[in-house]
Amino acid sequence: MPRPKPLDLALIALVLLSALGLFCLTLPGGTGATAVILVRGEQVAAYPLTGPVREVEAGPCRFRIGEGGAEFLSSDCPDQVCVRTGVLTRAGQSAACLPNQTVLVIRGAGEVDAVAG
Amino acid sequence: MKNTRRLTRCAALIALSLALSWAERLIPLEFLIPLPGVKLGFANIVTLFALVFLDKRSAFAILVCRCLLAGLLFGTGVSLLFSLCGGLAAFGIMALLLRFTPHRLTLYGVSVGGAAAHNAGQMLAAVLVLSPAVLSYLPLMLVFSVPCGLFTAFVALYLFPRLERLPFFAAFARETREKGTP
Repeated sequence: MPRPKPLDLALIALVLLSALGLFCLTLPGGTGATAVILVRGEQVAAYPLTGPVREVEAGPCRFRIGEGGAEFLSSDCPDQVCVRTGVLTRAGQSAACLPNQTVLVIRGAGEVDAVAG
Repeated sequence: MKNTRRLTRCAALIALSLALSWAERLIPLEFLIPLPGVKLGFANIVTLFALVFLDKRSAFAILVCRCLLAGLLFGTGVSLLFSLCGGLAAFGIMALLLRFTPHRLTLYGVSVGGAAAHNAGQMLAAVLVLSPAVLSYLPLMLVFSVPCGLFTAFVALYLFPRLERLPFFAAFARETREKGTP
């Protein structure tokens, strides 16, 4: 079993520092204003987070949006990672359903192109 | 090296990495880390083995075939794309890092680099296919690539010297002894 060499530790430090740097860059900022649903990279719907809770659909994914938050309610994927991500409330947060190529992302005020509903 | 021998070796390694790829899916890591696509990376052990004991072309073929088969058997079209992007990135980085072994770097560094590159490759594919919003998962994925990479390196470092007891692998070892193992 060889001992780790300085370059090993340097490499590990590099990976961890990159993680830290990226984390600082992608910090969720500000209260969320709009829930945006993207399918295959294209925006299909956007709903304000305020207001009474309502259920919307995008293909096989159902969402619950309202009262300051948005979440995946149900999906037909086997992993259910999207549903288990839970409620999103702050701008920059997102939940993704890979098998359905659907993403739910929260945008802050002044960031959206169009709002429906 | 005779073509038949090379073909059989690659086939056996593809089957092995495919089995490892399937086996790690039995461990529900997503309960700990709710990231889509998070996994331990057991199949990387075979990629490492192939890069160390075989030529680059065989190692590349083994990687691509394993990704294709795993995608066809247990995945969706999207997961195949993510798997390929991650796998190719990991392959490239590990092949590059192996040039620095055994004197400046050990398999620990190579494996962590490979794991990190795998995640970066997957993330690139995810950003292109889904949305730049998924980038928020990358920091956590990178952090976990360190223990996962160290684990696969540990297994590889324990396993590779002992594989010589198996007749199948003894031939690999004999041919690599001139080159020197990391």
